[in-house]
Amino acid sequence: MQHLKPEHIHSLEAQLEGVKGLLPEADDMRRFALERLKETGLPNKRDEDWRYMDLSDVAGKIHVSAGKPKNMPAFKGAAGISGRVTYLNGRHSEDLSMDAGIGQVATLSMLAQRLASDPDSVDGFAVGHDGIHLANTVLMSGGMALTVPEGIAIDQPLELEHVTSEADDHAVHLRHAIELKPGSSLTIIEYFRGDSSSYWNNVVSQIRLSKGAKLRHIRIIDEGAQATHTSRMFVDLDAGARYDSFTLGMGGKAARSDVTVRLMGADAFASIDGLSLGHAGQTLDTFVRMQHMVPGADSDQVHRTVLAAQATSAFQGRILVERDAQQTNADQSCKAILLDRSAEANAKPELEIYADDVKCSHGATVGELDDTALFYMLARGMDPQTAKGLLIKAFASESFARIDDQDILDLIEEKVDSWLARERVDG
Amino acid sequence: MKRKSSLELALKAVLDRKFETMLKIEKLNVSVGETQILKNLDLEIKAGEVHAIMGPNGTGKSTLANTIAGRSDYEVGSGSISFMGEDLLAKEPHERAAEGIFLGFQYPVEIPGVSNLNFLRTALNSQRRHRGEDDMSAAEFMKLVRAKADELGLKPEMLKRFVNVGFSGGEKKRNEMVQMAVLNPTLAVLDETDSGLDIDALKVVSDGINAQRRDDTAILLITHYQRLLDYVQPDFIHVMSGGKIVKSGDKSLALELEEEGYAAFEA
Repeated sequence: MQHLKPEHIHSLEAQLEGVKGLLPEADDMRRFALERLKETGLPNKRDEDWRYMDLSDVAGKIHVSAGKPKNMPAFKGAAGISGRVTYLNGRHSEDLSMDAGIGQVATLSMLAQRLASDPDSVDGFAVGHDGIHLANTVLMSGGMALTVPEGIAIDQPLELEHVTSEADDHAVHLRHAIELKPGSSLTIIEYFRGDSSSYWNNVVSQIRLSKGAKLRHIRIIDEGAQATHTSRMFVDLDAGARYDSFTLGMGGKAARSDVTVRLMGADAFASIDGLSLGHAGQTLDTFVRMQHMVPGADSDQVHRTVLAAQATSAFQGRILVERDAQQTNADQSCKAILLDRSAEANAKPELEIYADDVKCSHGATVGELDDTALFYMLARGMDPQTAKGLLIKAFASESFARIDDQDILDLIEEKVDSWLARERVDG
Repeated sequence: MKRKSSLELALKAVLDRKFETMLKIEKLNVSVGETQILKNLDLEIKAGEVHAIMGPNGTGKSTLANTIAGRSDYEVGSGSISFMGEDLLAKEPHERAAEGIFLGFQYPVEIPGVSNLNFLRTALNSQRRHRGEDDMSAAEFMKLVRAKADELGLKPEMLKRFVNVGFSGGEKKRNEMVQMAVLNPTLAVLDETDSGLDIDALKVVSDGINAQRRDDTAILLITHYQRLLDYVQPDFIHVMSGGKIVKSGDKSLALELEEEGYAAFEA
């Protein structure tokens, strides 16, 4: 734990004054969070849950970002979406967002409007225990509030974009609140991208899936090369609800994706899958807490990591099965391939099981590309870059085997191909 | 001087190639780790020839095959291999393949996650690019691979499966032959391609091998069993023992081996 320096605390208090006006209903919560933050400080490598991620330079950029960048980042519009919500340096961008129909069937608003119309909803906010989450509570500038009404199935995905640009030593703190009412369904494609400025992106999302609701959540974390990314998600599932998430982590200097899932009803199912592609100097951290609180819910985690020379990754997956949660099936598989011995992959699966009628499996491996398979391909005429690329793609594809939407698969494949092209994997 | 007609020139070219040395191995010494396996091995294969190498386990037959293909575990201490007049040992495995060498693996490798079609198409186009040719069109490729698979008794749906995953031993060997047919090598080195095959598979695989016999190609068969040589009749048979070739002869040597066993030829 690193305690906040006095100058950082002053800065925080000043910044707090600055953001108060954005979400007046959250004022008390912010003050409370600030007091807690002064006690907890920020996590550092001596904290067990944060031992692989170096946050030492984040304290200095805890304050909120400056305004709009001078150069508007290039945008690639996607066809076939129900809407796009874009945040530019932590502020909602009217210019880059669009409603392609979702506004007609769901309630999509900014957090400020949501709190203004329903001040009590702030009670459902997670204040946070660790410094990173607390900082978000203290300084959040807004976020997306989405409610999909009962029985509404939205076929076309909603895009949620976070773009950060010209934000050296600045931070973005956003809080999203997503709720799917009983029987509703949606796909969200969430993007994080930015330029080469040294920013910190700190996003907390709270997702609630009522009975029978289904959410598919695709996340592409491709932050700028000098960025720090911390995202925290809380997902609650009622009976029969289904949450399928896939996260592709490939950008940023240090990126951590942290998900806590609570399965609170029978026949609920959550899959938290992910692919981390690490290049030199990067740290990619994935933390999953899967909590089975009642009987009859299932979960699965499939995580794959590919690390080029000098990259670091950590996967920490905790499965907690409470005493009452009988007939739980919970699986976890995390595998990493090191393309060079200078890379480091850490895997820490944890099973905490209190019920006695459960099926839990977990497997963690760290290895290299199969030499025999590689020689077979070389002996058939493939050059080393092509051969390794094929093997890497085959390995990586295990993490998105659950996805059958061709557009999403194309998107993921394009990202993986661009990573392969950048990394000379035949080294 | 009378100018040669185009027919005479063509005939001359064919005759020249037929007697052209394709592979020349001279005093080859190869080790794996601390153990020396090949000891001053000599071998010459000319275009249009089929050679068979026979011998008990452990004499270095597979080592020879893998050395020709360029497997890095096999260290060449001294000696030379020239292929089509060029220094083969100076080339990387994928270059050797693109320049016409095919190794039929004794134990074909399983590659989960990569389909047979993807594997073969990528290999073929990598080779073509190396040779400065355009990629083969998807349609042409599918037509070619389906035809070859059909000839070798592999059902079309097997091509969609992952490389050799769930294939029986015989199916893996047939798959090797499909790959050979599509890649159309100049020199095919087939390492115990006949092992584990029942009679029907053996006939089909032999047909595949015989389809590769041309004036401008050569085949090196590595085998334990005389059986294959009934179907693929070799021009030369060599017996290996103690890391070198100890006896060479024509196809009648196979019968001699059958009757007397390898002990008669031990180094």
